[in-house]
Amino acid sequence: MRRSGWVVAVAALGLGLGCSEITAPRRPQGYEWRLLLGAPGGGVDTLAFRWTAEELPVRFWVQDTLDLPRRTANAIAAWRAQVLYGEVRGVLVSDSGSADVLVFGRSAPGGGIAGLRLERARGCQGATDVDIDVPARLVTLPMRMYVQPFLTSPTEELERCLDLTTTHEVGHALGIFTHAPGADELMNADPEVAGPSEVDRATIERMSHAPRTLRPVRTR
Amino acid sequence: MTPLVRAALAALVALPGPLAAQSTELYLDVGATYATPLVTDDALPEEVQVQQSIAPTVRAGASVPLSGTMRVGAELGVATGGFESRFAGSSIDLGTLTTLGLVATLSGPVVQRLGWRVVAGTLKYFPGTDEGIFAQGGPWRPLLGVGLDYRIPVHRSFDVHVAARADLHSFSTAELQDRGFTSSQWVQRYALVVGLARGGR
Repeated sequence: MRRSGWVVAVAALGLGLGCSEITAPRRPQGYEWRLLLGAPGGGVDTLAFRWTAEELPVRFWVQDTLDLPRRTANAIAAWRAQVLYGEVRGVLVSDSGSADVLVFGRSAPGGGIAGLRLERARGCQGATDVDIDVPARLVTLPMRMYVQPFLTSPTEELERCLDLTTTHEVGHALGIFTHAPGADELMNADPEVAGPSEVDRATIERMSHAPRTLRPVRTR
Repeated sequence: MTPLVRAALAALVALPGPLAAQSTELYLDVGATYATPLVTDDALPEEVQVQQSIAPTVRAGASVPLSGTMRVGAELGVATGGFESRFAGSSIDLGTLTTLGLVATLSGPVVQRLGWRVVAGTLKYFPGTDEGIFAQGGPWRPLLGVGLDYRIPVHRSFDVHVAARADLHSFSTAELQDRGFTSSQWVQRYALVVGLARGGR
């Protein structure tokens, strides 16, 4: 075979051998993000929610107080950075009527199923209200997030608390409807970290590709 | 056709004599490139793939005689398109993705107007935004390819140039490696371009 023929043959062989795939890592198990309710007659009823690709980006209307618009945008970015394939998307909207999540800088009116309550000494508290029709398997939008400071004057601790709480509540709005067991996870009821941990990451990665049993509907 | 491509084609046709000597081949092509998935992640509850769209491509190159009928040269190629993640029948638009290929070429005749070309060099990825798999930027990856070139004489100074090429590179990013992905994804690309060539007959 002429030299040029060998060159082409070797190159073609190299291309033909190119059929291996990258190996994805085994993610940490993460924690339970779904609501587990007792079912009649024993057993467990699983309520799982997440935003599908067609429903993205999640629309947040944010009350302009406590610097919440900036904190909410940062919280969305913090969660968005956890995923590799674009599964977390959120935008701030000016029309509360079209929003999927309303964010208020005040205390929750009571109730709520996924709330974060930090110690008063830490300066603030938060809660997220999600209206779930269990028999119909529906989540009525919009969800409502509340972030409230206890301290009246700005301090470094209050700033940290407001950022942490906002990011935690956005985690609930994205579909993590429970609290993580460890204090090293942001979604713990009283976290000791400022942002999503590797276990929070593993949880939202799995949640983004797991089946959901709750479907969102809009009241208006 | 962008103004830049129109200008480059006009310059190729109107090149002065020394640069367009018969021994020097010059070519400028436009076309499209298809690539196989960049990532296949089967460690989640559903398999996810990251897939580029068919990307409009511009390619320019030059070659000079090496020995016998073989020629050696260099080539620059740019392909710009979109990319998305795909899973369970859904997809998420991840933005734009541009690749820049810088390769050395080796070429020769097959029969009459048909020739072969082997390329080796590097490919650089430029994502529209640094996030997701490109959170730490786009990588440089070594590239190897082989193709066929066909020239159709249409004018005494230049030919219509049609080229088909397959190339291969291993893909990974710093972000994927930091997240524990091992090995690399071998990405095959197939391009079909058409343009003008002069010299090198």
